[in-house]
Amino acid sequence: MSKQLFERPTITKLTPGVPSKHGAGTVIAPMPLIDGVKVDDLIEQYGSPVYVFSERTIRKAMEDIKRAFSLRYQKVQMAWSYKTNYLDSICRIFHKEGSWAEVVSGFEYDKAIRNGVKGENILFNGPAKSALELEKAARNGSFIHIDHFDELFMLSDICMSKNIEARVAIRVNMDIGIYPKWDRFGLNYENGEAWDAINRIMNNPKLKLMGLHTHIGTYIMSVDAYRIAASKLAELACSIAQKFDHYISYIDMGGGFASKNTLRGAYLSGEDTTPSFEEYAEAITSAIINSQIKPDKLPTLILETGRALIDNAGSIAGSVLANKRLSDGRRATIVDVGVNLLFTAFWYDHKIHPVSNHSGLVEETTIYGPLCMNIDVLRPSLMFPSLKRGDRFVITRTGAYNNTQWLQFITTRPNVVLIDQNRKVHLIRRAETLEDVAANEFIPEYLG
Amino acid sequence: MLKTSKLFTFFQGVLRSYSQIFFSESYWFAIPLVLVSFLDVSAGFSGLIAVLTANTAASLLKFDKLTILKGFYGFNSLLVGLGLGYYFEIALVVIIMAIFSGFLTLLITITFQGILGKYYLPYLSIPFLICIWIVLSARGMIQGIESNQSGVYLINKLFNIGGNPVVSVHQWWVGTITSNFLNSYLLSLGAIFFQFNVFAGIVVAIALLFYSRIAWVLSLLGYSVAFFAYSFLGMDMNQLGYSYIGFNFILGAMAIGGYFYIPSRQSFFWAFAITPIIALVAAGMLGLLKPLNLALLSLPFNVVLLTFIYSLRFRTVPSNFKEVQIQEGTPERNLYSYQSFIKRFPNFGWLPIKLPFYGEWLVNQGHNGDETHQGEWANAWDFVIVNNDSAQFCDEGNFCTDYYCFGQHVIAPAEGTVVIVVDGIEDNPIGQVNTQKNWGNTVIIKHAEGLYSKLCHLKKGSIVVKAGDTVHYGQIIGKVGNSGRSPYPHLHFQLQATPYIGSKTLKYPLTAYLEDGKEIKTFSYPLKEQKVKTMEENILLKKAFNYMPGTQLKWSIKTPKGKEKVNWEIFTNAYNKSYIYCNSTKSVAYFQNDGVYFYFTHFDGDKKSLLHSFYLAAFRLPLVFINGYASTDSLPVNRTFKGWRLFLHDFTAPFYLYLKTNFEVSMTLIGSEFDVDCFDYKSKLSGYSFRRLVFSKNFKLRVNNNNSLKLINENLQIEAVCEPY
Repeated sequence: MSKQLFERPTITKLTPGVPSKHGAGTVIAPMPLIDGVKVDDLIEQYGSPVYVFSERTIRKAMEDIKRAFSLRYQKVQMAWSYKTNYLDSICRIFHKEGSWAEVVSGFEYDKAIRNGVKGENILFNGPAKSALELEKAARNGSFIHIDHFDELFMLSDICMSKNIEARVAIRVNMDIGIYPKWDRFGLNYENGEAWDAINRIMNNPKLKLMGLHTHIGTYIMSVDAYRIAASKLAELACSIAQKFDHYISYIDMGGGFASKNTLRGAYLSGEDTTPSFEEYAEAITSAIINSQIKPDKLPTLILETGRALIDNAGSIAGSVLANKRLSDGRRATIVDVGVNLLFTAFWYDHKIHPVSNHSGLVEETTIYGPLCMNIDVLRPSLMFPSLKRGDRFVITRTGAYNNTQWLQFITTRPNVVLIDQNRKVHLIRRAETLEDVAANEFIPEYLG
Repeated sequence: MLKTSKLFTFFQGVLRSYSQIFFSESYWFAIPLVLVSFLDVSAGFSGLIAVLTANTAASLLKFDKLTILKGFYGFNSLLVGLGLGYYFEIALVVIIMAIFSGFLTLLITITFQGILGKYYLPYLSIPFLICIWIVLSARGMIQGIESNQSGVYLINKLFNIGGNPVVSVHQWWVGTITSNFLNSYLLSLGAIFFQFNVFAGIVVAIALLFYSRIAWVLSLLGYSVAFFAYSFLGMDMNQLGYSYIGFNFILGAMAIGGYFYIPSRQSFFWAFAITPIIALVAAGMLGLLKPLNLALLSLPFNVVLLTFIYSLRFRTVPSNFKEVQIQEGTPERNLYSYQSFIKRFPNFGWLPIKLPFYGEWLVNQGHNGDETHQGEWANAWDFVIVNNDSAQFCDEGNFCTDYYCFGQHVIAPAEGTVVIVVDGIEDNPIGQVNTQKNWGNTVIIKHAEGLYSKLCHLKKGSIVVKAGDTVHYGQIIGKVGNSGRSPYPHLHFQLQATPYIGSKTLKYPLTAYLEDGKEIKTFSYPLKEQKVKTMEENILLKKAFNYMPGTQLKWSIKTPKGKEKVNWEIFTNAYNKSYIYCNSTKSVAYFQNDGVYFYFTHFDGDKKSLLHSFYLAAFRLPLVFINGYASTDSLPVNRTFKGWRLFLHDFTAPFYLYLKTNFEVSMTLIGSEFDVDCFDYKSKLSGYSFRRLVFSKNFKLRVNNNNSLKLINENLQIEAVCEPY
């Protein structure tokens, strides 16, 4: 007979009668396994906390998005958004699934090349490309997505002086009826800058206009916004065809599809409110198909979806460090995962599951990270069971941005593991050591 | 120029009238036959006059040029003329009679062409029979005709032809070759031209052997069966050799074994089996005709052959004994073309019907399925969408919306007119079926007379077309649902011959789809558990091989010998078949393009020409790009082998083909996906004899994005570039 479960007694308000608007109380399911592998085993072997990725979930997400789009449109190409997660193993899974690379810096560009992506399969985005990076991208035949006129002029100069040709697209921003308007990246559609840039590119013999790109925002919950954006790009494509008899090769709709995480302050759970890939696909593809573009000239549709593909595949497993009562009587639980490791805690109400069974009683709790900083709050308030020191938990849907925006702060960053399709666990990034962190430092002689 | 070519055409028509007697269209084969006919100068002369008369009259009266050219109008008159000259010594009155009877035969020929043509039957030598009977019966009435005695005084005749040497050869033959079988076989062959000697027989036999091995074997087969049948039945052997009966068996075996039917084991069996029947008919007819004092001639062959061809048309299953559809002139050509054709185009002539959806779907139930596709509704498909784990749904699959296919677009599989739309039937909850309205919401589209497609179990309220709408391929007509007898969402698709809901299904292939992501299928039947997807066409390749009549291809050729330029032009003939015509070599290459493949179907002309290299290099080219895909085909043996190998192979060809020419083409894309610089086709021909490699030829064909072509024949070291067109 197993040992009876003990939890510290708590006092909860009894609310008889009909359930409140929040429903019949919170049930937090325990999560002993991640993709079929015991969390306890993972922590014992790789320490706490540990980042865990599921290859099966990644491939499933790719399959879902490819199916959703390819059932509706003939030519679809995915491009993996490096900034969302550029752990090499993760990128390579996406490349194996047929994704190109979408990079926004020279560093990411080199990373993509190192991962075996052909230069002609890299989309180079971002507002801060250097002259050397532009030249390299042009020589490799990568698609350079022009963000502003200064970049256009710089690229033109490079191509003229070095006598090379560049394949370019322009990033277009536009009013699609949602707030906030993302007009800081790319050239505006309504004020004519985009058309101006197109004309300059078309008249430049060294620049070849390959496509049009837009990225309307992040975590966009309205599929209509995509419909509008796609039809505006299609209109631009038609104007180009009409004026220059030139047919662009692709329309890049960027990313921004919402993952199933719940945004901070959202009333309903993300699982219920975010559109499915099918809905996004229907809006985008029908806008392009129904445009004036001739059927045999339909461009390839490129998607740079990052978040919606990787968020669900990543989790962080950690342990409780301590519990305490706050001044207002609320319980606080301190865990070993801080905002330095879970940057997205600022955006999302991440779900946290205890690993072991619990009594089912929950209490309003604040969850703090281990940093000695006031901002280190994972969840300001959630209904959570009582966990003891040493109890383990899993934070789900942490795959996007956390491994690129994480901070080496106060302590070093932990191991990252990947569970492959056969449920075998691989270490894909080992925990940092003091030597790693100090390796780049130099001490002037007089301090030696 | 025009005049000489007209004269040449006329000349060809006359020559072919000689070869037509052996069902041949070859005019060089006619040359020995003409010579043979002049062994008896009287017969030869009168025959020539008759055929000249018939063909001149047919040309002046503006009968069909092609029929004249092929000798179809001339050969009966020729036979009448030969007969006339054989029976009567040539004289002015006989010449006049040859002219009249030649013309009369033409008229009878055309009459029989009309009568029998309605039944798609050949008139064979019936016009000859009628006319020769009339002419021979008329002899008593006409003055001044003498019986031709040269048949009786053979030695005299031979002396006239070649003097002493010929006579001594004849003496030697008579002294040495005493085989009754061989002698009467040769006599029978000669008798076809009213030449009653073994010399004629030998020349005809050798000419026949060089014209067609199959025909030659058949002539021997027919004759030997008859010979043994006669000896077995104890019938008068002399009849076979000396009264123009033997050739009935020869012609009968040739016609059935190799001309009207594709040469095969079955055709040889029938060539064998028909001979005793001809013998029976011959014996019977002889009795009937005796009182009328008419010669039997080729009557038994005509009667039996017409009866045979006509009655075999009523077979319900043609089996492997198939009639020749397009007559190519020799049994060998018919055989090789047919062999290649059934392999290459097993479903030729179907209207293209594509899959009624976009993207990759799974065949959940195919033809003759275990669940519902049975009996009169056996030839239907059920399609669903599955994920990589082969599940049709996400979550628990308790709701229609969990199913991947639910709500997906259903498109028109080909152009047509909507004839029936049924909507308003509720989508079933999962697991329940509506057996009252079992087809559910349905659209029926008419594509052609007797060809309708039916799409069933659509989502309620999703159908966007109405009866009477014309639709084109790819047009959305509704969404996949779960109405009718459908326990879970799927798309039921069938083709049928009648426009009703509940009509029985029609077995009809689908085209241009990719099977399990790797195999290109044209006109084929998707099977259960296969994943199928409509092919995406490649714009560049589609444009490059979209040859329209009038297109000019201008090539610059570089060979080891030097440089030259040739021009090709695209034409379309009366039968809507397109071909490339090479202006300098006058070669033609017929092709077709079904959107998935570009094929060459036929080549005629100079085998050293660039067009022939192109024909070999582009024998079958995929017009869709699949990385690493290699397409295979096989070329007709007679287009790639020649000389003794082919000559020997012809003997066994009806039974076993040991020569084989495989074609393999692979393609690579040069450039990137968006900037295709060119496609490179690498094609390889490999000729095998008993699986041993005999020859191999390599070609490279490059299709540039500016629509120019480059062709390299590696064996002949020819490099040719075609300007953009």
